[in-house]
Formats: sequence, structure tokens, C-alpha cells
Amino acid sequence: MENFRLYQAQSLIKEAGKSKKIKERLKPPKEGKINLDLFEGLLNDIISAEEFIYSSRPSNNLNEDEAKLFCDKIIGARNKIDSILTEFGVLDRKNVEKEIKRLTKGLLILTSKSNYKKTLTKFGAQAQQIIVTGVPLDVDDMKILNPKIPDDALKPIIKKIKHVKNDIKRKMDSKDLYEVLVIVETDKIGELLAERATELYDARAIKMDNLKDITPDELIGLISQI
Amino acid sequence: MECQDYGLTRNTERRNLNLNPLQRGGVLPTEARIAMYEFADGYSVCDYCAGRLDEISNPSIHNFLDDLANFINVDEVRTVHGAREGKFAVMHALCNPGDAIIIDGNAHYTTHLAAERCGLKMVEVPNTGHPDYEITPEKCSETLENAMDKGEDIKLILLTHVDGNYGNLTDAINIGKIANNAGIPIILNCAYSMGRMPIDAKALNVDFVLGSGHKSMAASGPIGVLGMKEEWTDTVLEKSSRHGVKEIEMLGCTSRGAPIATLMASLPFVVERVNHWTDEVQKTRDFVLKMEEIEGVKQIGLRPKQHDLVRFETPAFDKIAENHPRRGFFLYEELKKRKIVGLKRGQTKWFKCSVYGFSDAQIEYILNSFKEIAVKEVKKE
Repeated sequence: MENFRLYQAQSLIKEAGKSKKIKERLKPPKEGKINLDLFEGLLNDIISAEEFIYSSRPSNNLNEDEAKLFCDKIIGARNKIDSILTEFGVLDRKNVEKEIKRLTKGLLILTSKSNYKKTLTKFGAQAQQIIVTGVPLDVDDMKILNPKIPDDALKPIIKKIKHVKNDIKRKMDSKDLYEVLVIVETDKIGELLAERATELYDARAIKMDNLKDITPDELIGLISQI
Repeated sequence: MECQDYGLTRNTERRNLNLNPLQRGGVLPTEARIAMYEFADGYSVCDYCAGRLDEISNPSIHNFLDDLANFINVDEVRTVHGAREGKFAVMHALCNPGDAIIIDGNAHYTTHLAAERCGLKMVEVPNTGHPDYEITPEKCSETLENAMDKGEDIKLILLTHVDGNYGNLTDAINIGKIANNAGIPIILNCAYSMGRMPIDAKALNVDFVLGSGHKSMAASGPIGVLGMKEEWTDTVLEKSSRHGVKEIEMLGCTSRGAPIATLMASLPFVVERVNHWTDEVQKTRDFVLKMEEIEGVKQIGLRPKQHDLVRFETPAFDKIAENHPRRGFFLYEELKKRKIVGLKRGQTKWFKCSVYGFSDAQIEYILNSFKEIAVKEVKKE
């Protein structure tokens, strides 16, 4: 743990030492393809953010909690706009893979579905650092997910849970990983996995609505915030 | 041809608190705004239509209508272009030109127009006059009996659940009973109530209920809801002899595209919000009490309020207008400066308003603004 704190402090000093004065330059657009998922997503973000205009009329002042929710929507839209502009060469493509690899260094990532692992590795996270649990981390959670599950069906699940926990321990020891990060969707399975990993491994968690639609920039933003 | 600038810009709702009772219940939630974007094109809900709007399964209009029927407790429901089209459809299906119908004295003008269009004779139940303007079951009963005594064959009764002038909630249960006992079908016009407050058509003893998507169901409109008892479906939803699947009174299909998509998207929001109706009524009652602290401001219509639409008589503001350089426009303009809209320009003798859906802080702001204007202008005098 001491090594982790040292590493964290070193990273923060490095970040602080970087110049913040680099101006973003917009280049003339090149040919490219409109990413419709991003375009539709950013419109939804903007429309959702509009709700705060109505609730705060006529002053449009937001308290801190409201400001966070409002800005999350706007940042989501901004990230999607940036990704679209990057596709057309208007913005430089950031080396997102390098950044995600850097941010996830030392982290063991737990997620609930193979699709999510695919997304994370596509963005630059190391596959060896990711475990797809496929089951909850406690057999009682399985009963919450499926109250009618027969006892017989629980036996292989107990075995799988044991296997996952062994895998977590093995990777933590052998890959020099010091912290567990759960990345899941805000569904019941995701909530239970995050809750149990926090109890068992003092894990941190990123929960979001549409993990499959996340952009690399959004992922960087979320990992940076935790 | 060069078209003119039609002035299609509107930021009224985003930048102001709009007190117009007509508009308070039609504000879209986020889900409906997103649906409006997705279904803005004219025939956007018709991609998988097999000939009947109400049977489309993608988007699931069919399931939506089932949910809607449950929500208002009717056997069958259709969407129509608006409550007025619903009135017309029922009148046209049930009556013949020259027939007589009973309507209440607080009925919306479109009730009159629908009846006129069908060539019907209207027998009106008078309200009790100033200051309550109430439609009572006793007067309904008396009017019906008098009409029948005169030999009128009454084919239909139309009752306005909540009227648009005073916001009075009528005793639909007892008036429904009167209609049932007389064997006359009754329509309840719930344009101002369905979607704001819970509606249970069967408990209200009515044969038909009408709702307005754009007025009270958080839909962009124009769209209305026509619910009915099973026994009326053959008559009102009679099919065309030439186009077997098409319903004649619906003229085939009714509202498509954004109107129905927003109504659908808003239904879960509306189903939830009617649970807070008593809170909304209480907010209105508190608002009335505090407004009446301004000398010369008095709520008319039934007391205490049972609906968010409030009508105030405001001789205090009218007196100020007499000597104000902006005359009758001062109140509208003073409110506008404070980002409050919805009152008619030039109106100071009385006005209608609603604080439905506003937060406590917003209502407080509105109240303070009225009080501030009254104090400021009285001081000037």
C-alpha cells in the first residue's frame, strides 16, 4: 500500500509539472464517417441537460449536486463532440490507449460481461489486468438476483465464485496489482458486484448506464475522477 | 416563391415561469423530448403498420393503449386529435342531426362547436353564478327532467370534469349516476384533469372519458384520448364497409408521429405524477391563500380549490391600471420583467393562472413578485 501511495504522489507531481498552456487547435475537416451512436448520444445528453433549465427557472442557479449532474451531461456531450471532430481530423487524435494504460497501471479491473472487457481492452486497458466475473462474488447475491434459483443450481456457482476469487488473488500477487477497480453498468448485477468487491477488496467502482457506448475520453474522465 | 419569416423562435418556457393553466400540464419531460426528436417525421410511427394505428407493435402503440386503458380504467381506448375530436366522434356516432343533448354551463367552447357540427340541440345546465360558478348534480337532474318533460329525447350528456374558466371540479360520480339512472350515455371531458389527477372512468360512472395530451398529459400534441365502455365500441368504433380494418369515426388513423410518440414516452411520467395530485392541490391552496393577502385579490370558483387552475378577481390591479402610464399592460410587463409570463396582456380585472408542477421555491418567487408589484405600484399612487 505504501508503494501505491508513493506511485500516486509521483503521478500527481508529474501531472502538476505539465504545462497547461497548450492551446487546442482546430484543423480543417478531412473526409470521414459520422458516428451516429455518438451523434444521437450527444443530442440525448443535451436534451437531458435541458431539464435543469426548467427546474432552475428563473435564476438558473444550480446547487453543487445539481451542478454535478448538469455538468456530467454537458461533459458527456462534449466528449462525444470531441470524438466526432477527431474522426474528421478537426481535433488531433489523443493517444487514448497510452493514457488508459497509464491510468489503469497497478489496477485489477473486475467487470461483469465479456463485452465490457472487449471495450476496455480496445481502449488500451491490459487484458491480463481484467477479470470477467460472470457471477456475483457471494452466493447470497445470486439468490438476490434469482430468488427462485434451486439449491442444486448454486453448486457450480459456488465453485465459479471460488475460482474467480482465486483468480483475483493470483493476479494481484503475480502482476503486481495493488487495487481493485470495478467497472460495471448500473444494473442489479453491476450494483451487487461493486458492493461486494468494495467489502472484500476495498475496491473502487465506476458504474454507468451504457457501458458499451462509452467513449475512450469518457473512460479517461471517469478513471481520473475516482 | 420566397416564403416569409414565420417567426418560429420560442424560448418562453426555458426563460420564464409560465402561469398559463392551459400550458402547465403539457410540458414535456426529458423522455418525451427525446422521443420528439426520434419521431419528428410525419409518418415515423408507421414503419411497421399493417393498416391500423392502434395495432402497431413497433413502436408498441398496441401495448401503450392497453396501459392507457388501465390507467383510466376503461374497456377500450383510442387516441384522437384532441378532446374536441373525441367529443365530435362520440356525438356523431351516437346522435342524429336534430337530437338533443345535455351539456354543462361551464363547457368548453369546443363542446358547442362539436354539437353544432353534428346539428345537435344543446340543453344547458346553468352554473350557480358568481362567485362559485358551480355545476351541481341537482341542477343537472332538474335540467334533464325539465327537458324530458318538454318531450326532448336526450341522446347524450356531456359533463366537463374541470372547466377552463374557474377550475371547478364537478361531482362526476353523482352526475354520472343521474345519467346512468336515466339510461343516457355520458361523456366526461377530462381535458384539464386526465394526466394531472387520477381518473377512474368506471368509478366515475361515465360511459366515455376524454383527455387532452397537449393540455394535461405532457405530450406535444395535437392529441387526445377517448376511452369508453365495452358496450359502446361497436357504435363508436364501427368499421368501414369499403376499408375493412379502418374505423369510420377515427377517419382511419388519428395523430401520428411526434404527438403520439410524446404521449407514449410521457405515460410512465404521467402515471407517476398523478400520485402527487393531493400535493399539487395543496400547493394551489397555499398559493391562493398567500395571493389573497394582497388586498383586492380574491379567488373565485369553488373553495377550497380542488384543481390547480385558479381564477382571481383582481380589482386591486385594475385600480392601479387606471392611473398607470402603461394602463392595463402594466401587470403583464412588470411580471415579464421578473420572467413570469402566462397572463394575458392588458388584463387586470381578473386573470387565470396555475402553479402546477412548479417547485416551492418557484411558487414563492411568483408570490413575492405579485406582492412586490402590488406594493410598488400602490406606493407610486
